[in-house]
Amino acid sequence: MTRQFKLSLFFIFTLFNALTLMAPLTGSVAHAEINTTNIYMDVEHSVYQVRVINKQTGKKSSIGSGFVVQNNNILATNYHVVSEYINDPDIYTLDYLSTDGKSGPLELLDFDIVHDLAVVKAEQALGEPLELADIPEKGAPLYSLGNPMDLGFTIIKGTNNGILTKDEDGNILFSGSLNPGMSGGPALDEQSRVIGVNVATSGNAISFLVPASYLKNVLNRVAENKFRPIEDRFAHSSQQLKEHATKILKKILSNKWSGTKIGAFIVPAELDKSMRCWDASRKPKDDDLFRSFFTRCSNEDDIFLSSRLDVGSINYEYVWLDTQKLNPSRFYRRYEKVNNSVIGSHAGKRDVTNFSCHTDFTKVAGQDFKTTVCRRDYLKYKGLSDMLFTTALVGHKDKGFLFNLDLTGTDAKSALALFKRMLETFKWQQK
Amino acid sequence: MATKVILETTHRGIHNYHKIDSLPVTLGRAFDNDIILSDLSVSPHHMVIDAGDTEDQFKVQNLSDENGSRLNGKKMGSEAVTVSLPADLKLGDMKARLLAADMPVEETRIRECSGFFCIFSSPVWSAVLLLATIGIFFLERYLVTPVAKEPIYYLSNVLPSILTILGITIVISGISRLSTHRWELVPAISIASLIFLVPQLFDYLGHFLNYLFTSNTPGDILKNMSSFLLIPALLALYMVKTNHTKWIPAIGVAALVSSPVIAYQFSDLVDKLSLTSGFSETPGYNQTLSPIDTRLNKTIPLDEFIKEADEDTSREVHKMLLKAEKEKLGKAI
Repeated sequence: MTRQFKLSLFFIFTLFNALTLMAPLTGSVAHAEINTTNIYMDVEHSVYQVRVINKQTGKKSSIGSGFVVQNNNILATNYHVVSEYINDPDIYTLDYLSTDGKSGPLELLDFDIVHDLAVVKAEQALGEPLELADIPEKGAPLYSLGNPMDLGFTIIKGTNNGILTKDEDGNILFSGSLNPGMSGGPALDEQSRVIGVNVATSGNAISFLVPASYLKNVLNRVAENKFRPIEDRFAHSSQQLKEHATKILKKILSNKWSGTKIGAFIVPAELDKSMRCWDASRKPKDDDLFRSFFTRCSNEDDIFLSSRLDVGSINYEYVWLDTQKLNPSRFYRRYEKVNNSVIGSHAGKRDVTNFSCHTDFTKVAGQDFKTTVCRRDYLKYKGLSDMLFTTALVGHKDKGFLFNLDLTGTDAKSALALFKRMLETFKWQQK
Repeated sequence: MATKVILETTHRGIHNYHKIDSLPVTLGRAFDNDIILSDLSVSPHHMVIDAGDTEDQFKVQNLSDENGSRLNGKKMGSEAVTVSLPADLKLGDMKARLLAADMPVEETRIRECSGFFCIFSSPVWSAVLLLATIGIFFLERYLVTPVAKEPIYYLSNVLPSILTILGITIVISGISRLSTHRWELVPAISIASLIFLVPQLFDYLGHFLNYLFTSNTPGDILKNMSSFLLIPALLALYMVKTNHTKWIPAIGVAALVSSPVIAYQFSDLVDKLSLTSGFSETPGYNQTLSPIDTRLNKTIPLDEFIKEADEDTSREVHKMLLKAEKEKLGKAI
């Protein structure tokens, strides 16, 4: 699967995409039908542009869309649209811009970092709240609204392709062209009810919506809180992320795993429906003196924390090496070179501590393994860790086997339990 | 009477030798002295040397109030002092030595060496070292190439390193030619080979120890030793073993000559330290793997490992979090 792009519009996006995206955008407007016109007229005064403004320059640093929901002064949008403001409230403010050019300040009430939703409040009434509804049947037409590329409000017709089957916790697949700037805008059914929130695209009319049910949960929480803003944003995020990680890992641990054979080992392959495994073996060359096989699995999931920080990934890989022609010294040079695990994350000094690692020799499937556990914690998101596990078969002069597992933004104890369970299911099956 | 004693005077780095055939002998700038010394800090009548009580002893008397004299570093009064040979004198600012006439003198500045440990001067050793170094270049290249290759591939990879050894040989022997008027190719080949051979052997040893102890520390220590101490140590050893240089001046010269290399290594080390002491996104764990699998850590059950790893990493991460918290508070104040 290609990577998904979040739809909030940063300055760089405008420069890069404006010209290339102009054509398909006008195309879809040209195909507008009578139905689309009605829907647009219905909700025109309930959709807004949401802007993050730098206090120093007074200029917008990113934009997205939002819509009135629950109350006439409450807007729903994406977490990633307002993330700069959430992470650095000293530097940024938030405001809205209506279809007819009115603007005013916004205040954060609550968010769901895992499902990329945020709820904000304006000082005065903004318009008629839109109604939330369940997802219609697969194939039903959907209408998505937003302000792509800061070009003005548009409505895009597309098809509902249901909740992504690989992940019951996942988003709605919307076959329509969402573009940067439309993030946080509503996706409506034919009765002008909100069934999802625009969130991401993979290009070529493959777009994603957050189901409205998650927004309902946040709105319920907001009502329980009597429309008061949440207090500690980072603690709020940490709690949500940790609960999510624990839930996912618990689910993975309760699943029945399929096994796959790599070299002399039978190891767990897909741990969950949300996982995808790929073969990544290098093509053998004619003059190779050894064989190597490489399988890589990933949950292909990222939770957006800020423009440079994603968490929630679970990646693991198996590497098998063996030889009949190389002497042990030559073979181990190669083996040792492959034994080098790193974590795929852009977290920096401001985000995390250094790694702390523990290495020792353990028995796995009756074989000796050199095993390492590394952990680093997030500085602002308390209780959240990145975990890196790696283990290498030792004691065989002509065979090597590596297993690397890394999880970002997870619960350390649950991750350790997963690693242990995975190692316990390894089976040694020598021909 | 046969000459028994020689007076050596050093004037602007040039040594003069005066045979003393009869005693007493007077020293000074005046023309009526037995030995006339033309240094401005020497008095007209500066010193008298006379026979002592036994054959091997002499009496030295300082006559100069004006410029003074020193015997073996001590200031002399006006009384005669008995000395045995050799003795260091200082007349005013002029250095002098009283030496026995039968003191042996080395034939040249190159030291004769015999026995097994003459690794610098024995041609056999130098051939062995050179061949071992070239051999290890080939071995290294062979080990890191996991595909079948023609011998010419290895030769073309190793050739630049061999040429570097020859280059260093020529530089060292050129310096030897300038200072001793001899090319001394054999010790130069030995030292040039050792400059390449020792770090590689240290590298193997470091890898072995790293796996043995499941720690990166032994390898790091050996690596730093070979990048900082190896070249000066080899140069100093070379000067002491091949020339008649004393240890302290040899170490001084070696440190001076290798200072550019050390300065480079030092800045490299500081760079690395500043990287590792600050934030690093790569986990630093012991990645060594060894086909011989010689280690001190025994294989432990998985349960035990997970428990230890959890405790160990939790404790350390907690410490880092506290430190970060403290730094943040410090900044806020």
